[in-house]
Amino acid sequence: MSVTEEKLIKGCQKGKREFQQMLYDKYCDGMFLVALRYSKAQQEAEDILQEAFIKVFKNIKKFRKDSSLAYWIKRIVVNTALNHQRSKLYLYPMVDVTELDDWSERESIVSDLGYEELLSLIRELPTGCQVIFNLFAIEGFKHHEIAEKLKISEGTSKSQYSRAKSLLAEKVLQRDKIKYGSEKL
Amino acid sequence: MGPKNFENSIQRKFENQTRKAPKGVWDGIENSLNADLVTVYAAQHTMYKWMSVAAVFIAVLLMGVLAFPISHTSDNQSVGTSYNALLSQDWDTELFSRNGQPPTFQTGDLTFSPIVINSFSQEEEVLFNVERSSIRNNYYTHTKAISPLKSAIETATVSEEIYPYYSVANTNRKKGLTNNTSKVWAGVEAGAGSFNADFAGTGALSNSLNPAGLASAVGSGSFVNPTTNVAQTMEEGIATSIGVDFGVSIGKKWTLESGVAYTRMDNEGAASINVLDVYTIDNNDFINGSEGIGDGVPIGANSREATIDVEKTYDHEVALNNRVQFASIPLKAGYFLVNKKLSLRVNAGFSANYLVEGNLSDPTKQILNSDDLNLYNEWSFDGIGGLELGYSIFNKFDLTIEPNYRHSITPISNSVNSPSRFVVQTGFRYTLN
Repeated sequence: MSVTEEKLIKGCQKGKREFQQMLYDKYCDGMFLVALRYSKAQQEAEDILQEAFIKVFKNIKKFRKDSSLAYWIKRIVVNTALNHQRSKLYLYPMVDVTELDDWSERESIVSDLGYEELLSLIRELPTGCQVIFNLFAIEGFKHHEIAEKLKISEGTSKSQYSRAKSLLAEKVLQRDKIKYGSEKL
Repeated sequence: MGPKNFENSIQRKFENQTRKAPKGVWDGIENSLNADLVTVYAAQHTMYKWMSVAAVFIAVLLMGVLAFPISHTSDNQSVGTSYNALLSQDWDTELFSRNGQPPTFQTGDLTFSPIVINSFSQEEEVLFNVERSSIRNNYYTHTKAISPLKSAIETATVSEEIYPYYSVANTNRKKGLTNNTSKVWAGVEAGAGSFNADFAGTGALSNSLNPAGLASAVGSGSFVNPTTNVAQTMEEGIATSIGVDFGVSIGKKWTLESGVAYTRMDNEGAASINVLDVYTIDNNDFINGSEGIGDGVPIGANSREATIDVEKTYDHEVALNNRVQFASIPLKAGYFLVNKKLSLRVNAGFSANYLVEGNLSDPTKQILNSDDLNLYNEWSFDGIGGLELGYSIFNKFDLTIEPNYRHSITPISNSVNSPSRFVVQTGFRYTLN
C-alpha cells in the first residue's frame, strides 16, 4: 500500500498502528545506520532505534513540517543516541590542535576508506571521539553547536575531533600493517 | 585535502546508506506503545470506576425509595379513620346547629372538645372554618352510619389524642404537611476549585531520585559519589470532584447530609537539585576507551598518563507533576438560613478520604522514581465549611451551588504542609418524599 507522507503523518498523529508501522518500515533502515554510528554494540544500536521511534510516535503531533520528516526523525535518533552515550562521555581537552601538522595525510588515509570500513572504525573510537566525529564530520554540526549540545567547551570539541581523526588514521595504518605486513608501508 | 573536503567526503560515504534493522525492534516499539495505551486506559478506568460506583449508588437509592416509599400519612389516616368513626355516631345535630359551634364528641371514655381550635394560627383558623363546614355536612350525611371502628377509638389514650382529631380537618393542608415532615433527598454534585499543596518534603524527593536519569539530564555522565540536595516548590493546583449525596432534614431548619465523591487534584512545581560528585579518573582509560592501557605504557604523542581528582557540582531544575486521586465520604450538618423557593444553608462537617492514587513525577519520568514515592497517607480527614445556595426549579428538583473550604484535619501527605482547598460545587438534588 502506497501512502503519501502527509497521510502517513496524519495517521501516526491519530495513533493508528498501521500507519506507525508503515512509517517505521520506511525509515528504520536509514535510522538504524545512524544508531550504529553512535553505538559500540548492535544491541545498543537497537535500543537507540527503539527508544527513538517511540519518541517519534509520542511527539509526532508536534511535527511542524518546517523540516523534512526524515530530518526530524534523524534529529530524534541522534539526540537519543547522545543521551545513551552521555554516561560514557568524559570530555576534557587533550591536545593542542595547532601542534598537528600532518592533517592532510591523515585525512587522506581516512577518506579513502569505504563506508562499511569507516563505520566499523568509527564504532571502535573512544566514545567521546566517536560522538564528536559523528556530529562534526557526518551530521555537519559546527564545533560551537556541539559544545552547546554537549555542554563542553568549543576547544574540547575541536581537540576531540582531531583526536578522532588521528585515531582513525592510526587504526587504518595498524590494520594495514597486520594485513599486508610492515614492508608494504 | 582541505578540512571541508574531508568532511564532505565522509558525508558522501554515508549518504543514502542503510543497514537492515532487526525485526525485533518493531516488536519492542509496539509493546511500548501498547503499554502506554494501557496506562491511558487505566487512568480513564479509575474515573469510570468511580462514576460507576456513583451511578450504582444513585440507582440503589432510587430503587430503595420506589420499593419502600416513605409514608407520612399513616398518622393522619388513623386519625381520619377514627374521625370517621366519630362521624358515624348518632350526633345531636340540633346541638351543633343551635350553638353554631362544633359539638362535643364523646365515645366511650373519650371526650372531644373544640378547645383545640384556639391553638391554630389565624391562617389555620380559616382553613379550619372551611373544613368545619364539610364536617357539618358530614354530620348530616353520616348520621345513622354504623360504627365498626368505635372500639378502636375506645382503646385510645385520652388527652394526647384530642389534637389529632381536630387536625384531621387539616389532612389536606399541604403547608402543614410539608413543614412537619422530614425531607429526604438525593443529589449529584460536581465541583472544581483550587488548592495549595506542598505535598512532598525534600527528604522524600531526595530519596526518590534516579541517579542515572539525573546524570543523563545534567549531561554529566554517571555519578560516582554524589551528594544530593533538593529544594522543591509547588504551585497552586486544580481540584475537581464528582459525587452523589443524600440528605435528610431534621426539623424545619437542620439537615444531615452524606454521600460519596471522587476527587482529583493536579498541580505542578519544580525541584532545584544540586549534586556534588567527587571522584578520581584515570586519564588513560579515557584516551583508550574501554580498551584501557597499563600505567606507564606510552601510547602516542597525544596521550598522557595521569589521574585526575574531580569535584563537580551540578545544578538542575526539574519540573514536577503532582496528581492525587481519592474517594471521599463526607458527613455534613446544615442549617437553613432561608428555606423557600430560594434557599440558603450553612454547612459544616468533615470528610473521610481514601487515597486511590498519588503520583509525583517529573515529565520525563527519568529523574524521579515516582513508584518509590510514598508521600500520601492512605486515609485522611478534612474539615468542611460552606454556604449552599439552592433554587427550586421544579416541584422536587433543586439546583444548588456551594462554595466551600476544606482543610486537613489529618494530613493527606506525610509532609508537614497539607493542602487546603477552596472548591465551588454545583449540582441538583431530588426530594424523594
